[in-house]
Amino acid sequence: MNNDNNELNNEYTVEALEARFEMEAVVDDGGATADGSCECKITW
Amino acid sequence: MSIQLHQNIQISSFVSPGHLENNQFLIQCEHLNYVVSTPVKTLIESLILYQNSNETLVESYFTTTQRNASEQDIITLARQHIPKELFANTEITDQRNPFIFSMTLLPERFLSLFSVLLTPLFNKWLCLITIVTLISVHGSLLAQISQSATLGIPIGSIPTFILAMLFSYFIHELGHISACQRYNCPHGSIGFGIYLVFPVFYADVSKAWRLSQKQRAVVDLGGLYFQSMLIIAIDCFAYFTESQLAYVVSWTITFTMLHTLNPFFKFDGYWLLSDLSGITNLHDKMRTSLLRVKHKILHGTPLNFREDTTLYLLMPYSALAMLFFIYVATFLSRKLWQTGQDIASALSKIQGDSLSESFTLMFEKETLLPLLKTTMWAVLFVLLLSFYLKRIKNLLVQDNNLEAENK
Repeated sequence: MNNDNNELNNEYTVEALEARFEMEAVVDDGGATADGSCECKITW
Repeated sequence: MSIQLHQNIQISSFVSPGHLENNQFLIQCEHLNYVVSTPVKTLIESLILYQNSNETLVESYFTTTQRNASEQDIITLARQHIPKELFANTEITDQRNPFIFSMTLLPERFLSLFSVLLTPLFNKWLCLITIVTLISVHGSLLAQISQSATLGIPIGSIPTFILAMLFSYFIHELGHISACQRYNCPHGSIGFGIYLVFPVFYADVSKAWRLSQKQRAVVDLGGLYFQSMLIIAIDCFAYFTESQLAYVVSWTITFTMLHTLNPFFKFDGYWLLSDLSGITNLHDKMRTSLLRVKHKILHGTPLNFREDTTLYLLMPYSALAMLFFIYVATFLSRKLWQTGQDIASALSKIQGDSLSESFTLMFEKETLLPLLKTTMWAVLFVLLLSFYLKRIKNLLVQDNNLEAENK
């Protein structure tokens, strides 16, 4: 067990992390209707 | 010196699932972030010590690792395991971003003037009051807000509506930036870009990787938190003035807030899920887990949930993401078909012998603008559809590395 742990600790691992861009899309509700249905679309 | 790293490398601990012992470390150098194991971290430390002291490379390596190795072996290890971007002789490339196009709107220096002033807003009691107020105020007005949204706004109010929405996006991004500042973490700029096919506003918080999981989650929710305060103010204004425009703005902000919680694209929901679960590079790992399922089905390769507990989240996430992408692709296909029929119908109305006559006739009958609009939507749907199909293909495509790993 100890040998396993040592082996794990001896592993050379590298993981490049992705850039963190917190985004919010420019969208609107696309025109909600009285019956609650809506159609999504993008506002350009 | 035979081997040298960049001077501004920072090392901190990094907690990730499946590594209960603290044997994961974050290496940061400018905009680059790496999670490394203890041997890589000590190797980097030995090289930094070697650069900043009079010790030889062999001595520095022994000081940090308590191991003996020849200079050549240390250099070989370093070249093999340390990312090449960290070496001084490698120029650090520009930050990779997920945008097709992007532009900085507010630079870091300018934003830091505001973010410092706004950090007191991240007080737990104020957060609690905001949440309770949002639920009670917005909840009680929701029926009226949604009813008003169906009525729309007059054309003359559109510029005010656009300005209000731009302000809302700015407040949202400022929330992320201020949350970073709250934990004394450097932040980047606020900008505008095209992500996949979505026009987006963004805040660069790449340095937030150095924060704890909980602190990163606060950064993720900072945008929604600031927008919640804004929406309470708009709701109160709408209630007391009975402003139709304010109700529509409130409705639209609610929609954008819900939209940004989508965890399948890299909106706030994606980062929140990633930080709460501790699973980094969620999209890459989703792809890998789908490939594992494929290998399980085709070759019987075990999934090993016990060895990799992240699979308990990755598997349902990947399945739902696949269903979501397929659903959207189907939705877009239907819209494309419908738009194609609209164009055919508009074209069938064209009469006249020459092209110029046709255009004049269409202009007179006011059918030219609707046709152009429909054509624009058709192009947009084609773009969206091609992206989604490409996305699904990428999820299923053979990965040579994993293929080799599984054999």
